[in-house]
Amino acid sequence: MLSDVLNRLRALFRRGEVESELDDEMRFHFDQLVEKFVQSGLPAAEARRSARLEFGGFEQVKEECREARGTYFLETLAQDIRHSLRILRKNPGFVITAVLILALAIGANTTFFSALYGLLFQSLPFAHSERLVSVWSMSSSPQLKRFLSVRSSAPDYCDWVRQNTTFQELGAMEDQGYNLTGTDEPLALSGWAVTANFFDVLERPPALGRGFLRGEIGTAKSDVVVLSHSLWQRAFGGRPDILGRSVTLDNRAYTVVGVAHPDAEFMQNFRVEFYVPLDLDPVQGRGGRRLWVIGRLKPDIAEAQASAEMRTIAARLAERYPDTNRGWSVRLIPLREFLFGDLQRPVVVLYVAAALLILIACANLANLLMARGMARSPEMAIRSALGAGRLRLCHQMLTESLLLSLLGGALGLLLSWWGVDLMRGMISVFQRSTGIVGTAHITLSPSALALTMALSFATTLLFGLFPSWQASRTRPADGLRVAGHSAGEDRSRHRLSKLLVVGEIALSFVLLAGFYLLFRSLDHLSHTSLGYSSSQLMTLELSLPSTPEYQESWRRAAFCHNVLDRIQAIPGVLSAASVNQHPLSDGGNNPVPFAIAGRGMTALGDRPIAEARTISMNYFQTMSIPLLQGRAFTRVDKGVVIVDKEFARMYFPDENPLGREISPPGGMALRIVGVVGSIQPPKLADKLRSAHVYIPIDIFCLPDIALMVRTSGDPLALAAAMRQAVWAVNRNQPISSIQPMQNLVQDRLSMPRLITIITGLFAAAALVLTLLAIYGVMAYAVHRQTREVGVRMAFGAEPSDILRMVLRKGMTMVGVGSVVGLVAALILCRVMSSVLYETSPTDPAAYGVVMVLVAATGLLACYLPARRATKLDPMAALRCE
Amino acid sequence: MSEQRVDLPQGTLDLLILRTLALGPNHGWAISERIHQVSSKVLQVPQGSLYPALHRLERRGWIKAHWGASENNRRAKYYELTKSGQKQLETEAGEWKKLATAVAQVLETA
Repeated sequence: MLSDVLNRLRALFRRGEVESELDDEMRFHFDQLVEKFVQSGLPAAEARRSARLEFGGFEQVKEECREARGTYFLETLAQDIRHSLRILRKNPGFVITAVLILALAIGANTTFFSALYGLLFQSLPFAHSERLVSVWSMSSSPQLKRFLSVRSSAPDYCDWVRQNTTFQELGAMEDQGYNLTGTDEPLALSGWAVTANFFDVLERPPALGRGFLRGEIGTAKSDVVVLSHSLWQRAFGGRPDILGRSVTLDNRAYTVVGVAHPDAEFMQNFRVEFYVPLDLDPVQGRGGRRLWVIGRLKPDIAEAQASAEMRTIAARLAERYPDTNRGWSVRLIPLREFLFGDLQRPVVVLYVAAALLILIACANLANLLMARGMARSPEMAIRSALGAGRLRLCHQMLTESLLLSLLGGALGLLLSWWGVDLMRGMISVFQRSTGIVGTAHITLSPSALALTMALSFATTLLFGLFPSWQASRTRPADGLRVAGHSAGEDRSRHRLSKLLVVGEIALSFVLLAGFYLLFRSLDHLSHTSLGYSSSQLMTLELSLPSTPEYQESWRRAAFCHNVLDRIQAIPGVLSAASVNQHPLSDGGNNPVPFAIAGRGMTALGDRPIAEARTISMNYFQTMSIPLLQGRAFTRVDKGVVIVDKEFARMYFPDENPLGREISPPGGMALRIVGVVGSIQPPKLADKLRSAHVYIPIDIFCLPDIALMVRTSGDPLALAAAMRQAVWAVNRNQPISSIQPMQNLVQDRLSMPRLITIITGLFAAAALVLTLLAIYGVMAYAVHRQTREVGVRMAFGAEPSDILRMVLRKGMTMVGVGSVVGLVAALILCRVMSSVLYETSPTDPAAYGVVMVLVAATGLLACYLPARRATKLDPMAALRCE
Repeated sequence: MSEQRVDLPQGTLDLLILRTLALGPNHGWAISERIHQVSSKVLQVPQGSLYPALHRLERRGWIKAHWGASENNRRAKYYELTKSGQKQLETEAGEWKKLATAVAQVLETA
């Protein structure tokens, strides 16, 4: 054993010595052989010749000895690396192309896989987060179909808690807005009123102090608050003596009992800045669905099991309380799916696009390597003639491929770092624009990197090796004859190349189709009328506190009128109005069931559902929402209401809604005096419009207020004046946001735009790669057929015949690829229907356009080689072999 | 070259080399000549197999090499059997004999 090691080490480190010994040994043998021939009577020259014949290849024997010595691999590795570097340096074009393709493929794929991984599989920052689910009321009556996840009512929630056996904890929360005063500046805070077990559901106790006690719910002692970690840092400088201090929320004193753990702000977009105990007021009817319910399943309880039990409970409640609960069931959505579900779809689309691109890139790389292998077959032949064994040649090619892979991999890694950063940015943009999204933790996924690297390395190695394998199989003599083109292996290699190109064309077709569909969808989106005009329109959002000052609706309405009058007086303001939430607000659906007079006593659950908006008189004029029928509100109106076209369409399909009376639950009957145009839903994912009922603020004014201000110039220029107008009415009124409507509209489109741009870049890259691949294969085909072209021309074929012949060949490839691509696209693009807007994933026009584009690309790629074929000199072509 | 040549069956070359070296240290040329002669010129060891085999056996530690002077006073590489080589030779020879007898038996009776 020891001698073995010593031998190997010697061979490795004293290579010169070992080599010369080997040389001496062979030389000795050879001389002895010559001697023997001389002794048998041959003349010296003849003896040497015979000896050489008998001995065979010196180098081959030596090579085999080296191999037998076992140091072969390490010893030759250094040599191979040196040689490979030299070869690669001499072909910068090839190296740059291959490395770029590899880097692009690895970078793009790792980025999107990481994002997908982060969104699909990464858990929320809570223990056993897979057991966290959100519980929603779901209406099953046909006319309410779109309300798949509605919040729940307090009595329903209490019954669920009492009757279920599958949840460890079931908590509820309700949005709550408070104005914080007594600090440096008044702050409009949004937070949650939560049940006592809220922090137990998350299993994340407050970082400081405590959560709520059961006794604090709905009692006099309930003036306690838990601050969010970020509010504690922001408004109170993170001071540790915050516990026990008193803070003023809506002019009422609350004692701080805790500071929540930062992780509890998992739904960042809701800006939860404080938690107060939720009063599960039994007076609130079952029809008022305002609670978010989240729960933690007991260990070992499957979601389906809990779901089944909850549906049973819901059915029981529907039977007992038909008036409010008929047609309502329950739906469980795992919390992470609820938080990230909206993001998953676009990311899946991008991931599929990236996967297609990597396949195209790999096919291209394979062709590139094969073409290079073909070009190198004389080199291989010479080397094998000089004694390089098949294994040795493969080693050499392997080393070259490995070096290429490593270069591409390193660059790909850099690209991935950058790409994941970019992705994080994209997602935060998306979060800002859509609302319901939590904090996605997206990091470069090592498994993603490993996967893509493995895939591209495998391609490089496989196709890097393929030519060397073939080259080493050809007999040196064949390879040395330069005209060895017509060998059978060569033909099979060409066929494989063509197959790869057909595959590339098909994949590019799919990518292009996907891109074009997205593009059409984006085009639709940006040209679809919102139902109002968003240019030069400012929105100010604020929330009136529930202090005595604003206790009654008329006081809140008075505030609105007062502020609107002042804003209207600002020079440059054309018109101003108020509404409880602007059309793109992420406040979510607050469907209100209305009763229609003359349709009998219907149960709440069966009543027409509509979004209720409380507006000031000139809202439609300010927003430029067209009045379709009837009239607008007037100052003297009493008991009137205006509905939108969607409401009229859904609930008065064959009747004139004007003059009909509708009433909200517990409210007085309101006469419909007008019908206005409907508006787009705030979220792109909501493809159905909601019905709207507009109620004058003089009848009822909600405490949430969005002021809409139409200006003659840039609305931002007047922002300060608008703020002052609000503060002139109430110095302590915080404004939670002030921004031009146009920004919100743009934000809404940011994600579709990003997806479209990225897919477009991918499709362009795919098209270029495919163009190059078609060109490469056709150029080679023409080169192979030089002789045939010569013969044809000699027999009188016109250049146009030759052109047609070559083009036909190339376009057949393009045609086959397109057909395969078309079929694949029809199947794959269905995945996209969820991200498409008013665009069918099987739009024939779209596929037509893509078909033309691919054909044009193919034609361009084939034309150059075809033209070269027509320019051949027949005599030279015939002589070329 | 009138003598009839027989190709060496796989794996027997090592055995022949070991056996030849059991007689005393020798260089590659002499080994091949010896096998040729002792086998009544039936076995011819090609150089292309001999030297790789020698290097392989050396690596396994069954033979070791040193440089010495040849009969005609040239520097030549001499190989000699080591202790483990001796043992290997005994095992392999035993196995070979067993195999040969068995094959012969089958050929005669079948």
